Amino acid sequence: MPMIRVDELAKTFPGGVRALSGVNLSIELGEGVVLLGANGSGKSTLLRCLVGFERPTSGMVQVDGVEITSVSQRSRALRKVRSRVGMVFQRFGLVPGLSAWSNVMLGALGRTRLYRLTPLTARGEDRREAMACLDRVGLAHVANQRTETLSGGQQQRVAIARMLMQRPTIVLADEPIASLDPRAGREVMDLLWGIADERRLTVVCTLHQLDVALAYGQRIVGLQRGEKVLDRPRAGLVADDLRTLYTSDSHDAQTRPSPIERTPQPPQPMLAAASH
Amino acid sequence: MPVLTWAAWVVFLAVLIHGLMQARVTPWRLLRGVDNLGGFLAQAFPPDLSRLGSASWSMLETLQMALVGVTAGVVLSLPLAILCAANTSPHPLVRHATRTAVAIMRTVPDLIWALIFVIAVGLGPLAGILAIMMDTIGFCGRFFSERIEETSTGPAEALTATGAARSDVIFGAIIPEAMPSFVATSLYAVEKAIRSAVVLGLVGAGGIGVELSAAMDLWRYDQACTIILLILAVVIGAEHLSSHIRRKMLSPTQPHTQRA
Repeated sequence: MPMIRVDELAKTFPGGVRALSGVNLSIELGEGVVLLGANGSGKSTLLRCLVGFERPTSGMVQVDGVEITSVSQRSRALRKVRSRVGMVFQRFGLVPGLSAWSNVMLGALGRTRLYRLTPLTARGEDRREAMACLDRVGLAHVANQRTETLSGGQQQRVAIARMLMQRPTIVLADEPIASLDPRAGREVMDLLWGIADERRLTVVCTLHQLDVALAYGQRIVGLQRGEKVLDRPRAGLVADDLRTLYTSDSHDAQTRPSPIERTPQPPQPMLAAASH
Repeated sequence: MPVLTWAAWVVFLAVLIHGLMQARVTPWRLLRGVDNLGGFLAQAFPPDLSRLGSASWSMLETLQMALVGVTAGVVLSLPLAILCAANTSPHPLVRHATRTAVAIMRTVPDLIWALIFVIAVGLGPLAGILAIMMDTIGFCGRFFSERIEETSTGPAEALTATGAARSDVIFGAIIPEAMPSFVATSLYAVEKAIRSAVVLGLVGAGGIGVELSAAMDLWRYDQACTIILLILAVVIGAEHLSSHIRRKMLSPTQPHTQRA
């Protein structure tokens, strides 16, 4: 059984904007998929449908054996699936005013209630796990700093540590590096895919840059105006195969692919910053 | 539209002129007023410090009324604000009910709350405390819920995505983000409460106001002067203290670390 199954998914927003139509997708355990497309191609909507943040207009979504499209919004079943799906967001989604450590602790909310996760009441094993997660992303030394005092790259790494704390089987990353500079972005991508590799996580990562997309995962799925127009293994793909995703969307300058800065390389399993 | 505008102007001017006529503002009365004020000041200075001791005790009672009333009000405001705010309210009906209740507490002036509670629990500080509590809920309930509605959706969504319960999302993501603003609002509520606690004494709700109205009634303007100066000193002191704390609270506590 695939980890993620999407059948004939369609989403039309109130006002008539068609974000997705007729999307079919099947992702196996441990598979790493890059979801590529211009802004407004429906990537984020697809990801949000996978965790029930958006209700599809029609079609079926199944994640880890649970049909997301048929469980109710506040049901225990939905919460249980969500607890197995770690999410990474473009804007990090960290709680301001709390320390990096406290933010990582909140990753355990799917299995532990909040009152057992505060600095005064947390169990020793949870505290140690949170520190280990921070250590894995190379940020144990800023555990007690408020997250808003950290740089963008550091904040996203704290968010990844929180995702680790969740002990997920699936990772959904929604434009994880879109608000970072190229160097920090590369660090975050190496870290994310390195972790996914060592824990055999299933990954779906949306991106809009061609060059980055060509460097990670096993499979590239291309979306254009809400429709799946490409679904191929990454091996053997070159930038020219992907350019068609953008060409007819040229009315939006932002959606142009970023210039290729370097030759794509396979992901490094370990990151220098994560090794201390 | 111009007709309506004209009508509005006519009504406004009519009310204004009628108001001035009712107040019977005449140069003669204003001159006499200045003369009376001079008489009051002549009797008020030098202030009679003999009652400073007992006035200080009443002042302390006033401060305690303010502090107890605000604390109770803030504690009750937080759950009400959560029920009021669009993004945390469990149901639109609950939201409208609590919003209306908070609006009533805010619209009724504190002096009227004090009059009501003097009837309910008798003369003394308890009536003042309850009046301040109602006033604080009206004030903090509204500002807390507005701040909750302004919190960013990102953190709440991120915690929802971990499978967290709704209440854990509220207390794990939304309340921590709004907390500095809650503290600042509460400190301002304390300032506000000290000022109103002074006045509440005038209707018998305890504190320094009782002393002041007694001194005024006995025409002991020198004693009244002592009390007014004391009030001035304490209110200014409290405002400085609270704005100092607010400034410290709102400035970032830790410097930006070196970039990774």
